Amino acid sequence: MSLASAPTLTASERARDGRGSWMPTGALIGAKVLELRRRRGLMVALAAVTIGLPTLYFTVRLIEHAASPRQFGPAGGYQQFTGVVVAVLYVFGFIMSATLGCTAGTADLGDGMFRHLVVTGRSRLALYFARIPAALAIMVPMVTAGFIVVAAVSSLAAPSSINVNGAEVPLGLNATQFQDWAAQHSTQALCNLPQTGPVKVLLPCGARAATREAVIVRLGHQPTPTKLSPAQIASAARALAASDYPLYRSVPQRPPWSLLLESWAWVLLESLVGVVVGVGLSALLGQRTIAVVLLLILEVVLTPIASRHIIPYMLNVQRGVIGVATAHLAPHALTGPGSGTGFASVVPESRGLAWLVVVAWLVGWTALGAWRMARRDA
Amino acid sequence: MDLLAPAGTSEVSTHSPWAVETQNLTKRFGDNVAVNDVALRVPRGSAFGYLGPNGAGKTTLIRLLLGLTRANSGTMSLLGHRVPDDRSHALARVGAIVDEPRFFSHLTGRENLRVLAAAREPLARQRIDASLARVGLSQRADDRVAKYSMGMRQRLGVAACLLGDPDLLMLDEPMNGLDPAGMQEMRELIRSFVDEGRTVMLSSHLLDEIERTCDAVAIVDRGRIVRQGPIAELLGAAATEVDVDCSEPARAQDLLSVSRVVTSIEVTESGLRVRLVEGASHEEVAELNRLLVLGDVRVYRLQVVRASLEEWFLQVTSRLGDSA
Repeated sequence: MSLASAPTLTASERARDGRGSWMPTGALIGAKVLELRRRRGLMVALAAVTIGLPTLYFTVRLIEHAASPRQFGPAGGYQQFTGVVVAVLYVFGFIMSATLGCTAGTADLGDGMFRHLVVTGRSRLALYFARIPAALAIMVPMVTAGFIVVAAVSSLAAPSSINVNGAEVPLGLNATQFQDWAAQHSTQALCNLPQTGPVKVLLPCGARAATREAVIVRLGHQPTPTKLSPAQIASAARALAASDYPLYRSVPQRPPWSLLLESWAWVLLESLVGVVVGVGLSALLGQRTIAVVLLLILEVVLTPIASRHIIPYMLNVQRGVIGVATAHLAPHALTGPGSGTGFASVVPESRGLAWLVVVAWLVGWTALGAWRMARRDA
Repeated sequence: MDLLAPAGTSEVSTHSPWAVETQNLTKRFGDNVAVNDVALRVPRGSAFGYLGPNGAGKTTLIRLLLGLTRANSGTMSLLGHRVPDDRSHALARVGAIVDEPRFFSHLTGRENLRVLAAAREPLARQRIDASLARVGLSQRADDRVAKYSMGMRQRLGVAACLLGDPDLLMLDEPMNGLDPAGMQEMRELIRSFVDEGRTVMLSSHLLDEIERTCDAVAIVDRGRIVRQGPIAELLGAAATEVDVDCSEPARAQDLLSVSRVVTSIEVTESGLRVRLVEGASHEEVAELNRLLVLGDVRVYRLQVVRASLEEWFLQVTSRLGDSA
């Protein structure tokens, strides 16, 4: 029988066996999860960084605060939340996701199993695409667990007051309560709260606080030393509190639910990028170590440079760096002036463009990895 | 339900008598032609040996057939399905080991089979236990592969092949790393597959193993197939040698050297070893005896030496080398 007359399959026969399809099956993804999950060293490292690191940080802070509340503030709070989300979950989440992605992208090749899998007749693309959900099935719960630790401690161990230039101001007060507090603690209020209005009442603070001789500064006039009565001082403090209330309100006691959800989604987006780029780059190179090193350099060296400096004639290149784009997609509370993270990128970029860059990275690296997988000699 | 039932129950029925068929198949790596214009036909239901020295292109041919690398030219089919066009369907009923069997060393044998079964049809998962039992690995199935010996990995490789209940098994150097007992077990395993109606194509450089295990053989040298067919037929066509014990070896050599049926004569301790032309029969052997008796040489023993595959292989490949 010649090859020319070899039978070809009918459409219905093809439909019965989907192993030529590029879509990975649930079983294929499950098998990849099993293979990755059994890598004990990698799993320990992932858990240690994404869950262990924030847990350790907050444990130390809780112990410090319990041992010496005056010296060490409460473990949680809004600023702790923003700081840990940006410095730990975002940065290390990407690095660990990329590491897992690179492992998922090359494990079959490195261990000699790729050949076994290809000779099953399963589509190479299906084998490739199964790696992404499998890695995410491991990474998403890990990052979420780490995030829950951060969110829980930040919310439950939040401070009950805020320190403003040395004055302990209780948090969570409404406008009237804030003014009442200022009237009752007039010296603290006038000495420490920021005075930004046209009239400033400068009290002798510290050791001379008892003299009650104030200096009143009106915009465009010479400072006038004046002896004020307690009622006048209380009234001045109340007025100052009224003008400072918007600023006071902008400092939340604990991260609100909306910020928690937005931050969680943002951290997961970063993990998704890490996994997809890791899988794609490592499949393209056929090398895990080199891919991990390149992604480390991207995250730790190139991204900070591209994010914090405007390089003439390179602005569009900077905008195309994935870390710069995801920084622009961060919840405003994480990058704004009150966040205390210093995370905001100086490179101007719209959110629309940032989304475009993220999608381009996800699609581009996936396509490159898939192309290499389909053509690679097994 | 017998999950490892005899073959021939494939949903996709094909009528080709050949489990493997190639025409003008060529694969080059730069200037090196690893597979050179190969036309191969492996009959269904047989054990077929693909025999050649190291570097002859055996593994490359198997890799081409399995779609692990691309051919430069030529056509191929497995179980009647064209490759690579119908590769997915062809490989659905093929099990293969290529090079040394490597697995995820951090997984157990059973887990490795789970990973591979996931890439096959859903029924493959139900064949894991039966496959492990078939190769005698049930007791060690839950040990990590890192602790397996080479022989155990070979057997795990065969178990992996069985997950798809294959009509065709392609085993690349399956005896590598096996001790004599392991080789005997592997030989029996291969023959049992053939007895079930499966086709086994195995590549090897071990002539003796091919001769003991296979029904048919193709001999490959420098990428080309130099002979193929049933072993018995090929050996029948091989040059026949005759050991002659006689009274005067030197004179006997002179007498026989003029005969048309003699191609070469070698003097041995006890007499002569005479090589006859290809296809020589008993009549030609009798002619030798007649020549010696007529020349007054006393013949004490005249014994036909059956050519082994190894000797025949050396004849064929050395001749090819001479003509190159």
